Amino acid sequence: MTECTMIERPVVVRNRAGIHTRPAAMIVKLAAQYKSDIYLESEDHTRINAKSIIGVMTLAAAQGTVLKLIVSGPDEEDAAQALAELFDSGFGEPI
Amino acid sequence: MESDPGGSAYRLLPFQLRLQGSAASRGIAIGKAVVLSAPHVRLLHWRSIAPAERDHEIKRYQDAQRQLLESIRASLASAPTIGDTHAIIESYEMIATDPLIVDSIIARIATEGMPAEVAVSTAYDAHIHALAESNDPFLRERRFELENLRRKLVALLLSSDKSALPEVRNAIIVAPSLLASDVLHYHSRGVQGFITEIGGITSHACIVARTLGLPAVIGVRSATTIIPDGAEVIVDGSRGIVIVEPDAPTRVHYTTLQQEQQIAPPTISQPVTTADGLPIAVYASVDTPDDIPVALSHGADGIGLVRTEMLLVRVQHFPSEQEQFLWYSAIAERAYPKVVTLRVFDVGSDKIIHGMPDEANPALGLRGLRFLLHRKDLFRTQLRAILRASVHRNVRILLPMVTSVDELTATRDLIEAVKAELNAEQIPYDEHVPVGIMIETPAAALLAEHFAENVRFFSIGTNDLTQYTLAADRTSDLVAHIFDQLNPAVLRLLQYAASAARSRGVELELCGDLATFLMATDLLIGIGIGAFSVAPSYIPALKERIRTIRYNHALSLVEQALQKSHSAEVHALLEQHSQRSSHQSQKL
Repeated sequence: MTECTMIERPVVVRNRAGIHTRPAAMIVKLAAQYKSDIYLESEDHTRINAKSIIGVMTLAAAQGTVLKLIVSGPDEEDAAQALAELFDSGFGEPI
Repeated sequence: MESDPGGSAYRLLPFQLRLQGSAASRGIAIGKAVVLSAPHVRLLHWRSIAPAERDHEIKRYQDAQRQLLESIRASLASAPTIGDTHAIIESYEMIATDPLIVDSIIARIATEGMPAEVAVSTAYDAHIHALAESNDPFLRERRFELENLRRKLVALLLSSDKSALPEVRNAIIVAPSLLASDVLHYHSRGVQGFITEIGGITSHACIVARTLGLPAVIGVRSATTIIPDGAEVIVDGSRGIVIVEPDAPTRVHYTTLQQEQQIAPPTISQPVTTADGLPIAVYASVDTPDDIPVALSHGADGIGLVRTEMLLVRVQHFPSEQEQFLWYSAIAERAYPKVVTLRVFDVGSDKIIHGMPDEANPALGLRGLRFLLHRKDLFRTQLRAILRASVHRNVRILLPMVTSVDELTATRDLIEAVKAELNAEQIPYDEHVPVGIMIETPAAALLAEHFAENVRFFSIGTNDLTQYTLAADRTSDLVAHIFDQLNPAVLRLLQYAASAARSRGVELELCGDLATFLMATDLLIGIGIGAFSVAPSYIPALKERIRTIRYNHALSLVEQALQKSHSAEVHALLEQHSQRSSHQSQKL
């Protein structure tokens, strides 16, 4: 294992419908492509594994929710960048 | 290994044992008992797996998991690319491979020694309960996906467990109860007869057993605990008797009797005729491509009604031509070479889609064909998709809610225009695709002879025809006593449309609820119905009923029924008639 720093950055749920099945699946599919540990933390400090669909769905994040993206591992920069872009895109849904 | 508490506690009996139940399907079967205990019994009474065997148990789980993923991926490959279907199936795969769940299942096996099916069941349950208590309706609904996956995984595990799925060829199945699909499944694997603890003789399972000629005795109390697994049993389905571990004289007696009674049973998919040889088609009414295999396994002679509007309900937007084409093609291909009847979108009344006008009287408003002629853009898209799906020549088009010949003419013009487009684009389709109309308004019935000149078949929708004839809303409890599909006024309209159909060689079919009211089947055949369309599960019962009918008797029944002045008299007549014919068949 390389030395692990950690990236933390806020992401916002932008699409109108919030994180329902389809966006949750997109997050998990993207997260699974990276070796790093990837977590999402809600404002009440519930932290879930972004590679777990049940975890991501349980966040039940509505439009406007701010989440903390926490990434740690060998490809953390790429992973954080990719996930942040996915959130920014509103999962390709109406905003 | 054996987690079933019932099976091992009993020994084979020293003496012959005789149990009484109800005669559900006649004939005699002799074979070894295979006793099925309910899955929940296996899940509740489990023994801890020895530490040395836990790796093997984890592997069992992983094998089942692999099979589950394969089946999910296979359904993904064959799923129509409509709306969110793909994303939803993909989310199944993600749930099944979710690290939260996988880790917790493996931990339960490795540290607590749970059998794999128990570990799967409890690990999923933990999440299902959490979701069920959520305040968020979206999350509450997600529990159904988890329940579905849990059920599939547990079923795979139970079936991979050799003790759970023994060899059943030539065996007698002893079970708490059975579904019709179980009977079909076991029949295909060579089972000879059935014994169940509960169930009624009119249940679908028993009807299927009778259709297949499989002896069955039902209502044998505690059969799964009294009858030892592997014991020799005789099922006397004619007298409702089960004999366990028969002595030599009894066995000889029954073997002789069995040989005398050997008769070839009709197969479930065989076309049916009345007792005096009039062929009657029994079609299935369905909503989705997934319903087709079910319909065929229940013996459907074709698909008499596809409610295409269910596609609208499913995708929540107006589907593109390509989406519709894939959906209709999937239906036509799965049913091929059997006929498929696509009824164009019947929206309005009780099925409203976005963008429809708000009317005070939707049942009398812009519904069915009226709506489609009002929105010709949508209608044209659907007709193109249907015609493209007709390429194998097993598709028919059915028009709902027709009241005037103009509507039929306008629709035929539109169909011709679409055909010309397809010709110009060199897209193949069936040039002779049959077109039919629903007879579900009094106007359509009374003008039947004029419609008959331009269509190949009539399909009578008894629910709406009754509602419009009797001016009684079929969804209102307050007029439920007026709404009766056997009202003589409705029967007269049927008779009128039937004679127009007969004189012009138009096929006459019936797809309403009345088709499932088996006491009226002979009356309807007498009127001239040549095909029925019902939900798949009703097909075996309806075919069984048709085989008992004599056309001549049916004709005289019609004559009497048409003379009646109100519903109650028609019902009384049918009851009287059915009692008489059941006496006759008992004498036979």
